[in-house]
Amino acid sequence: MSTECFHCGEEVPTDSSYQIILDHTPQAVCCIGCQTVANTIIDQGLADYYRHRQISRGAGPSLPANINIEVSDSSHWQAYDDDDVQGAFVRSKADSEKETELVIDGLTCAACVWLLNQHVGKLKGVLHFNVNLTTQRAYVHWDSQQINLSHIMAAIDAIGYQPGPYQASLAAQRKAKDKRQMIFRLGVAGLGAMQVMMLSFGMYAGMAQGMQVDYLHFMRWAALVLSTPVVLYSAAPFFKAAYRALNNRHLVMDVPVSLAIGAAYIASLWATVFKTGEVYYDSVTMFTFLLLLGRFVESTARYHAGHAGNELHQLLPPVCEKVAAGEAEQIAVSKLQAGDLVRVLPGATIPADGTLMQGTSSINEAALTGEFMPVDKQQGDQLTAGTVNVASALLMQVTHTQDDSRLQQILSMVQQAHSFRPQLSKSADQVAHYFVFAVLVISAIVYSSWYLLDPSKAFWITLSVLVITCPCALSLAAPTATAVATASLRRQGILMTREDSLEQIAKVDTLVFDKTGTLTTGAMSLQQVLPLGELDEATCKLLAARLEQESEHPISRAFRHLDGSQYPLTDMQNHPSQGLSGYWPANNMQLRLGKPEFVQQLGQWQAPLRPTAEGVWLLLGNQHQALAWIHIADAKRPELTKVMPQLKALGMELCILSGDHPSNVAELAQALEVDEWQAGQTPAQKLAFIKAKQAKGKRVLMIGDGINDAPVMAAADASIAMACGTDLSKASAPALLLRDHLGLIGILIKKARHTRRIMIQNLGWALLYNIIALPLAASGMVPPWGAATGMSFSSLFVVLNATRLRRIKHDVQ
Amino acid sequence: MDIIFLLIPVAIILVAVATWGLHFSLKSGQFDDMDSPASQILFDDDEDLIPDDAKGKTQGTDKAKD
Repeated sequence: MSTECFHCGEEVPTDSSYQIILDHTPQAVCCIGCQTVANTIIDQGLADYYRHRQISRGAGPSLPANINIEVSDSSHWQAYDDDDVQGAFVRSKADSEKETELVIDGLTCAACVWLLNQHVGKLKGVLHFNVNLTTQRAYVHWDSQQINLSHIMAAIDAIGYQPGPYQASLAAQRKAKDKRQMIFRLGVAGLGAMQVMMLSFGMYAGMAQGMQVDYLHFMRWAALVLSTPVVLYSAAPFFKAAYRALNNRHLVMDVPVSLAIGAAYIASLWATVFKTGEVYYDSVTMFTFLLLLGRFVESTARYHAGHAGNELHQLLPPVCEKVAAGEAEQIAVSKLQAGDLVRVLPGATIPADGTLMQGTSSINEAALTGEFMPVDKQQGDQLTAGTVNVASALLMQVTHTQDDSRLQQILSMVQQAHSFRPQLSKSADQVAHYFVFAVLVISAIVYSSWYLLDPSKAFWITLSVLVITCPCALSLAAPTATAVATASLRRQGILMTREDSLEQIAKVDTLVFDKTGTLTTGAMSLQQVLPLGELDEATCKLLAARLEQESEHPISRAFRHLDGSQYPLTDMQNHPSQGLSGYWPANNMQLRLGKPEFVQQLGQWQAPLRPTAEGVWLLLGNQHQALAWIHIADAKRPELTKVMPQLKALGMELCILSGDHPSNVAELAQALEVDEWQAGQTPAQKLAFIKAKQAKGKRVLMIGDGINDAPVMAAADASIAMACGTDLSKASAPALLLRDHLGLIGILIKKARHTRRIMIQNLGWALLYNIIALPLAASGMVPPWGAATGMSFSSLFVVLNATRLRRIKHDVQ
Repeated sequence: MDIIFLLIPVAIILVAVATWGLHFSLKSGQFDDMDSPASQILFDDDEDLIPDDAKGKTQGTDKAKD
C-alpha cells in the first residue's frame, strides 16, 4: 500500500522512515527535505496551512512542493545582498528602504499564499510582503538596516518555495498592462450593454404601446451616449485586428465583426441625428460584450502559463568568483567578459560558456539535455552555461558570455522553428473568409434589388441584412468551445498556452516521445539491494544512504528517503567520479561505495560479477569483502504500460526519440511496443526526423522535457511539456502537464477531438441560422428587435453547446 | 413621463461613476491576482480575535469539519 507524503503529496517509498508529528499524530513524509520544511511550518505555528490547503485544493491540481532543494541557510542566498547584483532588480525607496519583486517557484494554491504572507510578512524589517498567485510573484518592501534580502529569500526557501529575482522584460510588462486594459474594456462594454439594453426595452415597449416621439428621440440620444465608449474603446481591438488583416490582404473573423459593429453603429448614429430609420445600439453593445467576454475567458486561462518571463536568468547564478592575478573576487555574472578566469565550486552553476583550465570534475547537464547522469570533464573540455558542477572545484576560462552562449543559441533556434512552422489558419478564420465574401455579395445584391423596387428602403434593409447575419454566433463558435475546453483541461491538470493548439492536437496522428524525464521519471531511484556478504539488505541500504548524504551527485537523490543516521560514520570522503568512503567505528569497518574498481582497492578480494540489468550498479564493500550490489536506475513511469495501449487505441503511431545510448532505448521501446525508435539523437537530428514525418503527411505531437527538446517541440505540429521539464521546454510548448502523469495525454487528445466536434456543430448552427435569417432580412421582414433577439438567441445556443465540454470528464486511470 | 429627462441622465452619470470605480480598482492592482482571494476568505486565521468564552463553540465546529 502506498501512502502520500503529508507535505508534498508525492508517493512515499515503502522503505522510508521519515515522518512528522502534527497534533500528536505521526504523518509520513517522503524525504528529509519535506520533513524539514513541514517541521519549520509547524514550529512557526503555521500548521493551519495544511488545513487551508484542504479548502483551496478544489481550485486546481496541486504541484508537489519543491522538494529537491537542500534546505539552506542564508549564506546560500548571500550573493543577492551584493549591490551590483541588486542593481538589476531592486529599487531603492526612502533611506534604507528597498523594494523588489521575487519570482516564487512552487506556488500552487491560495494556502501557499497564506503561508508565505504569514511566515515572511512577520519577519522583523519586512515592511510589506504580498504574494500574487496569478503571476507567481511576490512584492517585497523591506528595511535594509533591519534585514537583508538574503534572509528574506532564505525564509522563503525554508518553507519549501524557491525565490528568484524577477526582472520584468518589456514583453512581460506589456502583457500585464494588456491584461488590465482588457478587463477595463470588458467592464465598459458590460456596463454600457446593460444600460443600452434597458433603454432598448423601453423603446420596444414604447413602439408597441405608442410613445411620444420626443421621448423616443431622447432615449436614442441616451443610448448613443452609452454605446459610443463601447464602440470606440471596448471594440477597438477588433477594428485594429481587422485593419491589420486587411493590410496583409488576409480575411479573419475580425473583419466581419468590425464590419457589423461599425456599420450598425454608424447607421444608428445617422438615424439618431437625422431622426429617421432604426437604431441597433443594443445589438452593437451586446455583441461587443459577448465577444470580449469569450476572449477574456480564453486569455485568462492562458495567462497562467505566461509567467515564464524569467526562464533564462533563473538558470544562471547571480554572481561568480572571478580569479585575476591570483586573487579571487565576487563579481556579477553580467559583468563577465570573454577571457576571464572563473573558479566554480562543487554544487555551483557554471556562469558562462567556457573551457576547463584546471581540475577534473563531473558536470550535470540536466538543465540543457534532460539527461541527469553527470558527464566527466577533463582539462580543455567545453563547459556550458547553466550546467552544474557536481564533483570538485575547477577553474575555467570564459569563451562566450551570456549574449552568445549556447543557451542563447538554442533560444534563437526555438524562435526560428516557430517562425518557419507553416502558418496553419484556424478553421473559424477559414469560414470567415468565405463568409465575408458571401455577406458582401449578398448585401450588394439586396441593395441593388431594393434600389430598383423602393429606393427609400434600400439602405435600411441592407443594414438589417448586415446586422442579422452579424457573425456573432459564427465568431463565438470557436472561441467559446476553446475557452470552455481550456478551463476544463486546467482542472484536470493540463495547461493550454496557445489558442490554436487544441485544433492541432485534435488532428494529430503521430506521437513522438523523448525518453529521459518523459517516459522515465527522470530521477534516479533505488531499484534493489543484493547483499553479498555478512550484512543483511536493510543494513547495507542504510549504510549506503549514510555515505550518500555527503554527496551532491544526482545518484544520492535515490537515497534521500532513507534515514541512515543510526549508523554514525566518521572520516567520510567524497572521491569525485569514483565513489564515497567512510569509517564505521562500531564494527571497525572501512566502507566504500561506488565503482567496483574503486571499492576493490580497499582490500584484495575478488570482485563479484556485475549483474546484467540496465542501469547503474554501485558496489558497497569493506576491507574484507564485497557487501552488496546496489542497483540504481531511472525507472520508467509506472503508468506507461496502461497508457501506451490507450494511446494506440486512439489511432496513434508511437515513436521514441532519445539522445540516450541505443541499448537503453531498445529495451524500453520493445517493452512498450512502440512503432519506431531512434537513439543517440542530437537536437538537429530530432528536428530532421520530425520534418521527415511531416513531409509524409503525418501530424506530429512531441512530448518532451529538456531544453534540447525545445526546438523540436516548436517545429512539431503540437507539443506537450512535462511538469518536471525545464522552463524553456515549457515556454515553447502550447500544452503543459501540471502533473507528471502520462495518462493526461490521452485525456488531452480526447478533449481536443471533442472540442473540434463541438466547434463544427457551432459553426454549422451559425451558418444554418444565417441561411434562415438572411431571406427574411433581405425581404425586409425583420424589425430591429427581431435582429437583436435573433442574434442573442443564436449566440446563447453556441455558448450553451460549448459548456457541454465542461461536463464530460475523461478519467486518468 | 417627463421624469425620464431627469432619470436617464442620472443613470448615465451613475454608469460613469461605476466606470471610474472600475478604473480605480484596476489601477490599484485589485484585479492582478484573480485566484487566491477567492479561497483566502475561507481560511480561519482569526483564533486570537475570538474571545475566550466563545472559543469552546468554534473549536467544536472546527473538529466536526476535520
